Amino acid sequence: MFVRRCFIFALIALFSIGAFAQSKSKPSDKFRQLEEDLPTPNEYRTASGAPGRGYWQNTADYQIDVTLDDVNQRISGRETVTYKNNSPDALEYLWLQLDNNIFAKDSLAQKTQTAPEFKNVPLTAVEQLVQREFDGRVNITEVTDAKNNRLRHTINETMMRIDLPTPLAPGGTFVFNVTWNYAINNQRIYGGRTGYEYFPQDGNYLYEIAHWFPRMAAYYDVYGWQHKQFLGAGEFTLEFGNYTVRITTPNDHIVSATGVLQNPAQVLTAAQRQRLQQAATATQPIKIVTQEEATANEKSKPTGTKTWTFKADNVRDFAFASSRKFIWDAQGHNVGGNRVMAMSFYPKEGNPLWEKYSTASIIHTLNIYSRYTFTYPYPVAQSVNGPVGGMEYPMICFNGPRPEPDGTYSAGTKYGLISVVIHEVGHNYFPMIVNSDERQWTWMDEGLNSFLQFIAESEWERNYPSRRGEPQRIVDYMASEEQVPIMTQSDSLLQFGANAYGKPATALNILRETVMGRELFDHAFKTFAQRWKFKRPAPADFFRTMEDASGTDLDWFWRGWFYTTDNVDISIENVRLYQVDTRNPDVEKGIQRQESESRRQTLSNQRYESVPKLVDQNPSLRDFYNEYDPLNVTESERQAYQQFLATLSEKERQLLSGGYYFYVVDLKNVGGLVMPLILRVEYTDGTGEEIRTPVEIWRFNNFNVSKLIVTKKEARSIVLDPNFETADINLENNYFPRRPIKSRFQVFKQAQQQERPTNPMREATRQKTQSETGTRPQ
Amino acid sequence: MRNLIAKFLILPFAFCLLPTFAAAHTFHTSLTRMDYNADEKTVEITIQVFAHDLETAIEKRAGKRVNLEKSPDATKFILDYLNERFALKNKNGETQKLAWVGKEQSADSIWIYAETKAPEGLENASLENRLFFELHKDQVNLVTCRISGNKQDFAFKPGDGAKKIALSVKK
Repeated sequence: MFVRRCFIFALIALFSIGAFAQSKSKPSDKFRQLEEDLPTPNEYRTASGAPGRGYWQNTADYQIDVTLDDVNQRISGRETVTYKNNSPDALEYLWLQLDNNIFAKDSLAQKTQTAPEFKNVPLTAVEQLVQREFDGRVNITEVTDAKNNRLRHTINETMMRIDLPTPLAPGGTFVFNVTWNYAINNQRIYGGRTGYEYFPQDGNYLYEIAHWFPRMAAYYDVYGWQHKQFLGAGEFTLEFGNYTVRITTPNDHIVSATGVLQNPAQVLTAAQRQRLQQAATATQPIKIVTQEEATANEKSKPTGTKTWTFKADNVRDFAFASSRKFIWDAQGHNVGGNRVMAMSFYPKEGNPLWEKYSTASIIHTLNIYSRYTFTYPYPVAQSVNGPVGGMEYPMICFNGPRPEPDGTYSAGTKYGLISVVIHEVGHNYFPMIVNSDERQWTWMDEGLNSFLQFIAESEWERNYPSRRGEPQRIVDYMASEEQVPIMTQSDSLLQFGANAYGKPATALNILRETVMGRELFDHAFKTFAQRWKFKRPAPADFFRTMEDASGTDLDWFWRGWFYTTDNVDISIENVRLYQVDTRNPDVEKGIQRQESESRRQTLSNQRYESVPKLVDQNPSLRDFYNEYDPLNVTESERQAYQQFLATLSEKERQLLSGGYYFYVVDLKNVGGLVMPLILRVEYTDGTGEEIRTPVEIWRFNNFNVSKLIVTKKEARSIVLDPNFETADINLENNYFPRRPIKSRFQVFKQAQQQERPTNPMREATRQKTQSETGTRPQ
Repeated sequence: MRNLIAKFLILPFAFCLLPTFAAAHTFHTSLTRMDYNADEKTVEITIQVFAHDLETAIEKRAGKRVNLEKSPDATKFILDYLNERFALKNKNGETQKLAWVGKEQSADSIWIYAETKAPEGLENASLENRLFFELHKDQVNLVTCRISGNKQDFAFKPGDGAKKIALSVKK
């Protein structure tokens, strides 16, 4: 077939590079397989990303008695730990986490803080700088074996080693006791994922208590003992086990904890027990303790103590909350056949927001997350309001947002609460059940959880103001400097939130919507969750399972998005149009005539048009060449064409006269990440078409490719990524012909200028919005 | 040592030194985009901050609770705070006052829009961004500055002073 070049679009790029031209000087490695970077598969973890036939993990069961001292804000406890060594290794010593030592006066986290900026320093901060009186160090008063013989132990900051009298053989069990106490941190001053809040108006305390007991550090096949110091950012990974915890508090406190209350008859009133029963089958949250009761209880003085007994099976941690201020609501819910009690605990300061949204958000989370992973396996799911902004533990989480003292709240507070409850309840799935190592890899739980959070928010209401998930929202981060790859250890992350929450969540969303499609992605993601539920996956297990279960080579994606800081910036450099030479002299010479005539309309020719010409005044000067037109079609040309046609089949003749347009779109990878090409072609007849090309188009040349588009219509423009689905950081080069892109600033300013205070509709909407979000619902 | 001493104010209003939003928000970043508008000879500035950070910073300055969505003084509070901590200085070292354009709020972010005149362009201008340094020791303020299609990135961390803009407006 003969092809002819026809310059309909102006050439923008100064040069255009053929598909193979650069591959020698710039090695193509974006599709290089990951196996040289991933750990070698073994009997514990398979090449398909599943737990292997020899997979093992140790267990730790706890019996704990703990007393909360509300007068001095102290915790004291004694635990009996039954540790089972399922590893193939004999263990000479055990490591335990003493994460509360982060609040010690001279903790590593304290000592490694950098200097503050001295300008308008708050009084509390100065007090701490001058003389920090609070010391939250854990006092270990006794460590003994099952026969109460003392055990040698050594404390290294937030870690404690217990030396065993004889090594613990594979398959063996070791039972030991630890007794300890510590002062609880005021969370409002010292921060943290645990702590108390003091309410000066009524003189009461609210406790959110976490990493409060010496916990077995994880020992596992990838890292051995996970005893990296707790510096505050890298959270935890622990062993699964069964817990029985007896919590002794003032007898007017309400306690919420990981697990199921074992002795309601001893700690709850008959009315409360009856309400709980009613709540189990209710369709709305039922108050177990009403606001009136809680407010009355604030004035109470305890007359003694009560001991609340909780049991939790197959959990990796245990947290609790306690206060005499708690309002308590509950609603039973059937999640895929599992009856779960969703419950919220909050002081009156959390209302009216909490009674409306907390328990409803818990139930929504369980429904959505269970659909994409596995059925929520625990009997309760709880959300507690207190000083901690947002922190997760098994079956219980702490969430901060509260309305104003007058009961009004902003949209930000409302959606902030719903989002944080979804997020923290969602953490039950990752990492409480899919027990990834948070101290090593923040993204493995935060990224996966933020991804599902985006789905849950999208199904909460139309246009939910989600923070993370939409590709457009990560663009500023992707374009920014000061980045490290997602595959960076938790304590060294820069731009923590965008790196470990936003980028992986967005990457997974892009993988689902743009790269793999929902069906393949959802199956693979669910396979990962089910394979590793109640087990401890490493990053490679996730990467491998996603490929293994979907039949998709994603090494390029993990390599680009998780191991580099490249971004997506693909540019349409040029569009070339080719058309078939029909070899019909009447058609082709007609086109040539048009072109040559249009080229002849120069400025001089136009001005000379009316000037008298000599050959017109003196016709004798004319000859053959004054009449000859090379573009006139001759009979012999027509005959040659007919002879040519006779050699073609009917199908070939149709192709020749089909009027096809062959557009060659030259694309350049500016940002470094290869991505599928999503091109929208807009035609001159007003119609359009979307052409989706898998990422493999880049496999021979990672930097420049040309995409052919064959159409019967003439194109007016071509747009790359028209649905904003790839997080392309620069939209200016996504258009052919180029279009100016307004910055966020210009869009906003323009909207401001268009705004007329007399616009009755906007004013009404505004007033309506104000009355909806600004006043206390009745 | 005497000449190194700088006085600092102590505020009676108690605020935490390390405000913690544990799992939801343990990171402290702001993102700024600055574009030079060659037609208007202005600098267009968009700053994205966490609503919580901005509110805390302004409450600390004001010494009282401030609701940025409802307070009639919100604009003034924010602009004063910006002018205190975000400085675009011309080649003579004079700070250009920022003019208010507006703000937008989402679930947890606030976008602040401001602009300033720069009739002489940004040749030899410098930039300082100390937002929230008084709150967070690990604050990082990222700024992308664009002039005539060229781009320069800055990262401001506590202790950083003004940084020079090395971009020029095409003549």
